[in-house]
Amino acid sequence: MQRNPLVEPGVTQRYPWLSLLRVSRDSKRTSRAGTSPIPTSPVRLSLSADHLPSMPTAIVDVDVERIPAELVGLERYERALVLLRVRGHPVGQMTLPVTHGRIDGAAIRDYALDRERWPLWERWLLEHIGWDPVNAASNAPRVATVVIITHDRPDDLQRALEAVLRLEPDGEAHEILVVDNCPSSDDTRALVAGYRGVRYVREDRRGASAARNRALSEARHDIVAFTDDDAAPDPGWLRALLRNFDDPLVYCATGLTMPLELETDAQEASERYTPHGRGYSRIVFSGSRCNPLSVGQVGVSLNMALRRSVLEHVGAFDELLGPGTPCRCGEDYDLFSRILAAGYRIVYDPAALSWHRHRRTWEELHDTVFGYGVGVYAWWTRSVLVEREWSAMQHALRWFVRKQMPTLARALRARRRSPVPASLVWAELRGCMAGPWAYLASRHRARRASRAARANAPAPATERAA
Amino acid sequence: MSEHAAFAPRVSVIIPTHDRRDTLRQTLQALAKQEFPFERMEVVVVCDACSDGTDQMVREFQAPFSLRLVRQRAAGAGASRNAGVAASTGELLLFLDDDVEPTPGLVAAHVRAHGAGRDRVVVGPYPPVAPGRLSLYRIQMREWWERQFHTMRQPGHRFTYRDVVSGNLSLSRELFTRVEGFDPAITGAGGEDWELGVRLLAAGAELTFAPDALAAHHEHSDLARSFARTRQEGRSDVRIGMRHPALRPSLPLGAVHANERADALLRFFAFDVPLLGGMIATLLRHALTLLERARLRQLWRALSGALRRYWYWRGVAERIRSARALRAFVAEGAAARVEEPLLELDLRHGVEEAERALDAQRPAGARLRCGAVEIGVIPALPAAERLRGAHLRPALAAMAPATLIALAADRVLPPVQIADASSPRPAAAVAGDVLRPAKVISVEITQPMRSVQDLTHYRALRVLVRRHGMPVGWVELPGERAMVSATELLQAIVRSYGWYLVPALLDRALPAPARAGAAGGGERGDAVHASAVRHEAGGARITPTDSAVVPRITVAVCTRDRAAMLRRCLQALSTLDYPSYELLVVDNASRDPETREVALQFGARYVREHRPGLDWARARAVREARTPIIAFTDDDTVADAGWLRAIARAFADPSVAAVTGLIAPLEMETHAQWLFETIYGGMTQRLTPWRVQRQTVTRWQMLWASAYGVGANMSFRREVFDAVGTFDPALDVGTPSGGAGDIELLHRIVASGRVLRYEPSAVVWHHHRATMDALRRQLFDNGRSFPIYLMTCARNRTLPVHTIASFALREWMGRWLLRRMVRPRGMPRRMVWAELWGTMLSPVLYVRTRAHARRIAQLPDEEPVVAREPDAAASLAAR
Repeated sequence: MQRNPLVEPGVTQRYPWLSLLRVSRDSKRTSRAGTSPIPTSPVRLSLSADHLPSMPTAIVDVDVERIPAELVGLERYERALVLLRVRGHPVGQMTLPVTHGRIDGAAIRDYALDRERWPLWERWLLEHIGWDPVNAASNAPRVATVVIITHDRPDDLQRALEAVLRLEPDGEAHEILVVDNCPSSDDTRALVAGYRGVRYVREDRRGASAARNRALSEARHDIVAFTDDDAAPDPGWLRALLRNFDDPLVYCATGLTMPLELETDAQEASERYTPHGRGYSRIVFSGSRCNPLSVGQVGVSLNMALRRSVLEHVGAFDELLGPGTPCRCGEDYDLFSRILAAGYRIVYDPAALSWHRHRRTWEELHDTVFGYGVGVYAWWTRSVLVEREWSAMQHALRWFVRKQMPTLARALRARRRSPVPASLVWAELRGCMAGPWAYLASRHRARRASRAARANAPAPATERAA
Repeated sequence: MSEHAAFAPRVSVIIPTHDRRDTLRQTLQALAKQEFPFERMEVVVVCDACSDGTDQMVREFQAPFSLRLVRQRAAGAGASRNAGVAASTGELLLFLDDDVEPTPGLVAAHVRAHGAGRDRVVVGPYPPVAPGRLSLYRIQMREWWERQFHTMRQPGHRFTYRDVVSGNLSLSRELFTRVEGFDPAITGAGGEDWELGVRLLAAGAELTFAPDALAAHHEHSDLARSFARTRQEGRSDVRIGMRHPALRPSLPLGAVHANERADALLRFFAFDVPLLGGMIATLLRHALTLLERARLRQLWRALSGALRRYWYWRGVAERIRSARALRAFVAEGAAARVEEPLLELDLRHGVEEAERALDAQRPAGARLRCGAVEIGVIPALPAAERLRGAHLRPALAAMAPATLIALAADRVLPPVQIADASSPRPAAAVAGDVLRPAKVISVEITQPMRSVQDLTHYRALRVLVRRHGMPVGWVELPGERAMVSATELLQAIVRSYGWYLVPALLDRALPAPARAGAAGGGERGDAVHASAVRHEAGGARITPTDSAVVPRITVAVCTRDRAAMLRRCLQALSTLDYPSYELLVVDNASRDPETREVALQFGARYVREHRPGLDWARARAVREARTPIIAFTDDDTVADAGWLRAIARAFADPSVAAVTGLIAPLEMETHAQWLFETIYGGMTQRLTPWRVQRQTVTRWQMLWASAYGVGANMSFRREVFDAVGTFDPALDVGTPSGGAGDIELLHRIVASGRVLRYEPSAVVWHHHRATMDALRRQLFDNGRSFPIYLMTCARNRTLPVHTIASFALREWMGRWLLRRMVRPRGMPRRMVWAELWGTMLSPVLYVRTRAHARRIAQLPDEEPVVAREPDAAASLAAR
């Protein structure tokens, strides 16, 4: 994954503490001269993950009412991650062994009936009595703008576009918008030009937040659904997201994200350590009850839809956070948190299913996980500095002491049996320590840029929104 | 729209107001933009003691419709609306609040929603206009309103009087006058609309929600005003309670009977020291601001909730002086309540049928069931809409677990036998008038349920619930009555273990995996493709079916001088549901000849072991057995019919070396038996299978061998004895050790790395000791044999000696004996003492039992006694 340079040299000289970030990046670069397929850990605490069984997992998607007698053609795989559905609704997942490239349908069924409990049962019952509490009142909008945020990944984008074009329309056609963030070439524009009815927007301010804000202002419809270039939404995805906007207080809906493939060890580890799914029950996070600082369970930004009025009532994405900035992610957490703090609601609805291609190599994965650590702590820093949410400090400390240190200790203790390599935990931990500084760096950079813009042109430049 | 054309009433819009000139002007301006013929519309503004020039504004307002102004003196919103109605002429009354700004289609939407319905009451939404980041109070307020309108919009919503909110409400003049309008006794604003709602619902009005009759609510309240309004609600609730006594318990003030400590404290401040309470409440209201500034949301919510509650009680206290009077007030209401009968609805005939029944009968409440199993009750709420068909599905979805279980019980279980469901047998006379602890029965839920008779002399009925032979759990029902009907038994079982039936329900409901033309992999065909042909050879599953695995089994019973018990035991053993097994009775030096006769009578092979000691007999059985599997049981048991089948199933796994199973009490006729089973812990009681293996259990678990099996229900592969040796003759009954030969071997098998499987479906019913003396003796035996078993383990070095020693001290002496000595938890202390005493003697007894074993071992192997086989019995008889 291509990322923008973390910090500019000038900044580092003036802020020596930023060397914490720079050193780690540099050490990664040097240690990774020449890409090797072996998981070489980018950190010095090199607890490599090569003890993990190296075999790919097939992804299988079955409806319990239409289980085939047998699934064949899985010769490359030793096991399969099976997503179970009832009439399109995801209700559970399980990992089954593949024998001689096959899975017996009866085994899937037995396992499903035996192990999969409440979501499957409840969904079956609702279908049986013909009632769905969520669909009941139909005030929800039926049409939306689908936005794909992309940055120099035409191959992935093509798959995402194909998937989005397969979305089931509900009456009027959806608007499809590709926001190209800081492209280095014209490949993306050329690719999008090949599709009918897809609008291309180029956003030259760096960062996914800027791209998302641009999309919110460009969108024609009231609901804006976001997906990334490395994700492929399911055909029923948008409809499932939209049905949650029946409630006028719902400003955001997120969905279940499953791995598109688990071909490499890194992808397996990614799915184990930072799964994008949040379970198979619909959850309503209400601002009048939930703590806006614990939004970890809400969902991920590559599978969400926003009401466009979020711009005026809650504020746009903070352009200091997110991919493409020193903070590397966290812009979604920040927005979720502000939505809740403003008293609105966020719904996690597993019926809205999207498939995400996880990072394939260990380098990318370590980089991503490091980014998660940076992003979360940068967001908490922002919460303290901008939102005056003092308890964010308590959250940060508690997470560090109660969650991450024990995870690292566990991973170190059970090196052989640990499901995730300790290096991954360490990468995240390092990210956490860098997070607050990254936010300050980002803020400094934005100030400098705006000063420069003011000096250059009298017209107001693009300022951070929040 | 034809309906619209048919119903063209004149609409009177009635707006009570008090000092809100600017918002009222907004409302009037919005009314002037209505898409409704102005000639059929009039507006009446009722100024209630206005002092800000509202009347002036209204008089000068250039309205396209007829606009009238009524003035009155501080009489409250209800009285104002009544005055407005009196001054108006339209057939349809539309009440708007002065801070509610209608959208252009509002009046037309109301008229449309009425249609031709005469007795309809239409509520339109008027959510507060409060966007963006707000104070916590305003967030809460917005949430309340939005939730109110959102729930009303749901298709299956059941309206109650609390849904009658008068800010955007319309009804016909005829209905309004029939229910005599608003109650003028409720002064101030708040609660008068709910009171009207109660009467409207009682008059049979039909509540409807019109989502398109939308208005914007320009709410400008703050915390102080909201508390004042809550206080007004308290006052209004007392008035509502006075007019409608039946409603009192369900009003918020009915909570006076729920003894919640925090609420009681608030009531104390409201009723007993209102002045002090008021001061504290005002102070705390200011503290809320600080909390909000510090972003302490949880604390803010808790405190503001408490303050709101306090002001509610203050409002109540203004009308009812003391908490005691309030309690009497509520109790009186509860007594005045008339319970309407619930409609019985059976879902067996489908949801649609039940909906039709609801639509036809419109009951106040309904009891839902599916066959014999109850799902739940839709209660008959006071002052709520009578049930419609549309209410059914949401109610079922809300009771989803119960619905699923009831459906499952109805579809999966066989129907209750009607013949058995009635008429208790006359109670049989029983000698002695003592109540027995419990009657023990076993119920197979795949068989039709039967009633249980003759419970008069039992305190309880204990039921072992089984499904396809597998124990699911115990259910206890109260006794001391003639019978428990089959339906009651079924309901009790389903209540406790209904969950186990749901997979079976789905198994029936979901189609089996498709044979041909299967479409696997869904849309993601990149990795998986399904084949139309099923490959039988390669991937076929290996399921140990009953017919496939039927190894021959020897059932060995070792006995000594207990012919009567042996008879009962063999009777059960001779009728086991298993194709190929043989019975082997090992007579351990019996003195009476009856043992042999009984054995031969049941066609068992009879072997006499003259060396006294149970383990000598067991070892003899091992030598005599000629089958690959040997199952042991005691002579005081009754084996379950499926016992061997379950054992054979467990042995189908080739890695399993030994199988043990559940030992259930055959009866609980005496206190001693009840004590042993429920307090002491019985023999083996576990209900889930357990694969006991050295790698997967802890060392202490391994040493607690009695937790995974005892001699009354254990079976082995023959090869095991060659590998780990046979029963230790120094142990068990007949030697100074007094027991533990069985658990010692089980422990040795597990310690050697072999797999022992605990299989709960292999059930043996054990006759526990009936008298207290016998129980004490047994506990004494346990007390002495367990340490001897531990010492034997140490001698055999199955585990490190320090582990065994620490287990003996901490687990056996400490946790098991001494703790129970200090806190016996229902066990008579002398029983614990017997066990402890046995333990104290055990070192001496260990030495003695070893010496004893050496002595016995010198006896000749074989006494000249003929071992008779069933076929030899004939020749014996001929002689």
